[in-house]
Amino acid sequence: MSMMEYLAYAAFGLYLFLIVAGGLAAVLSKNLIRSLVGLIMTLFGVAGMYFLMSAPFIALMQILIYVGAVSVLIFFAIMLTRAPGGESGIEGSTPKALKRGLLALATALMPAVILGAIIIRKTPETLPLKPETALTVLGEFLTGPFALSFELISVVLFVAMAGAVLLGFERRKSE
Amino acid sequence: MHRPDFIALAPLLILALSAAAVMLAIALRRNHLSAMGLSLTGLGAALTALPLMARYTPRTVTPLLIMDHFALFYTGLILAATAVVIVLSYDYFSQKDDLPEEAYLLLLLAALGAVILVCARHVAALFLGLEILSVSLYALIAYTRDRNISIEAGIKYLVLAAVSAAFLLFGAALIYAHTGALDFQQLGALLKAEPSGRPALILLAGLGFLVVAVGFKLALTPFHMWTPDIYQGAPAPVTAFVATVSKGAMAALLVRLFTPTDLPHWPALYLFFTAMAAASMAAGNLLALLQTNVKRLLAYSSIAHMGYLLAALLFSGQKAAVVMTFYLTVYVVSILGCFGIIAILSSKERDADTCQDLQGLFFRRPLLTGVFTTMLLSLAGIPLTAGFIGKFYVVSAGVENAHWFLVIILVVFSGVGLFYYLRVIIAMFSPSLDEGLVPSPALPALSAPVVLTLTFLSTLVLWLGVWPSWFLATLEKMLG
Repeated sequence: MSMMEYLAYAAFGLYLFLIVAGGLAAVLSKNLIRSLVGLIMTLFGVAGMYFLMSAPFIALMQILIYVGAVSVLIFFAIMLTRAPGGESGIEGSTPKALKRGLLALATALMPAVILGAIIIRKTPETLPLKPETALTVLGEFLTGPFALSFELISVVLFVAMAGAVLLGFERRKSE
Repeated sequence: MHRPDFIALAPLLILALSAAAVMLAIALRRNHLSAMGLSLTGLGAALTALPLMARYTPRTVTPLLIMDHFALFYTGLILAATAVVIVLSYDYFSQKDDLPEEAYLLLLLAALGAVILVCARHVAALFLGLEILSVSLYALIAYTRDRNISIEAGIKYLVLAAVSAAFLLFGAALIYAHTGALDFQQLGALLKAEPSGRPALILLAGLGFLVVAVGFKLALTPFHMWTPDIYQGAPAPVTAFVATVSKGAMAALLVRLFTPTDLPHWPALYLFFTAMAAASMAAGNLLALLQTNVKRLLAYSSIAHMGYLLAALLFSGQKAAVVMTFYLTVYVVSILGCFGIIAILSSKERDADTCQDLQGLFFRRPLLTGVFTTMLLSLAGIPLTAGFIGKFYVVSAGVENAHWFLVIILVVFSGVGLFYYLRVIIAMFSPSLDEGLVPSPALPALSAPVVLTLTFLSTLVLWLGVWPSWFLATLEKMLG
């Protein structure tokens, strides 16, 4: 293995650590701000993975949009809303902590075990990385044959916004 | 994109435009009636566009969508079902909320998502359609936000739908890693070429994850846990929408996805589907026996019905599209009737969804009781109703292809199912328990459009039950 390959493995390990640790911090932390910091860490890790897959543009966009904009938005949302009080559900269906942990573990481990078993039984051959895709090609692709998907994504965002505004707006009114 | 492309996209464009129009109208001046009128006009325009564009089909519009006869039929079904939901929900929303108008905006957008699903020919379109549908449903399910039960249902749906979307994406990524294709047609060809018996594990895992996502949306056992809670918590018209449009679109997608792949060629997947169908029929019907809440009961019964539908996919090979479409149409009509009546009977505080609410309904509301009874009998599969013909076609397809295991399960559990449908009917026809003690709540008079819609639905159920050959011939001509 050449020097570069060792470096690549090291970088992969580092990014993996960032993603997993950040994810755990986001889920396990009781403090919303700490959860957010964990989320940001994960997003940085994902950006690193994009770099590793020679897609620097996507990586930069990941940092710019998710770390830069979305996280700040969530931060503001946390600051502007009061901490939720939280009522227990009507079903009384909150399982015990142990059961909850076990259920979460089972759900998260299922895909991991399936994929792990596949990789152990039959290691897929390594795919050669394509050279970096030019930005113009990417742009033409998104506005040419996939223009419709571009429009549809905007509908998704619109629905999300409309729904959130609707529920949030009314909630304030009824209080 | 050229002019014919835009013509082929007409229903989608009209739906999107009418959603925008409704939003602008709400911004200018809040008026419940005009918001509903605008939505219905939009749906009507989209429906009229369907026969006009039939001569431009089949046409592939960008790599994402295909407008063929199959897409046209299901688009029509979705638009009509949405229109019925809107008519039946007008009274429900007008007595309930200070802000009822936005429900129509969200319903239109959700219908748009469903239409994209039935026209999809690419995994990207599948995902986007699913997201548009799901995201509007989060807000719609939690729409009656003064009820905790509604908010809880919304959150549950959000979390579970997000997990299933993650499964879908991961499955698509695995499939792409192995085949390099995301196009259904290409994918089907590649899967057919795959050596039989020992398919690549990565591909199998990818398909498995995809099936998990589809199974969640259709609420097939073992991915059915969300159904009763969401059905119960959501406002009755939204439940009708979830049960018909959202599930119908997904079932259509299932047909499109798996008809070209030749399922029996994949023993593992075939076995998985068979197990899911059998488990859904058994679990749905048995768990429904324990319910006293009509919405929960219908939720479990819908799990069983999706099991029958999956069985139809496995039974009928090339004819799957026709048999499934017939069954699904009948199911949509019957369920719309059931939840429509629950919506009509509901009061400001809560939905009329317990057996006590229905007790003695016959003596107060004979017309509603008649329609409800017809719909329930159709769901149970009693002769002279459309539900019987639907089930009959599924069973005959199963017998033709000698799928004895699933046929026997289907027949046995349909028999079990009779019991809980009849329990609801008996409650409606038995005299009220508290007669004279508590005055029964004064029910508002039915408006003319509601009466017309209910009459239309029950006529359809009886007509398809007595004389199905015309509709079947049309389906065979369109989809065969």
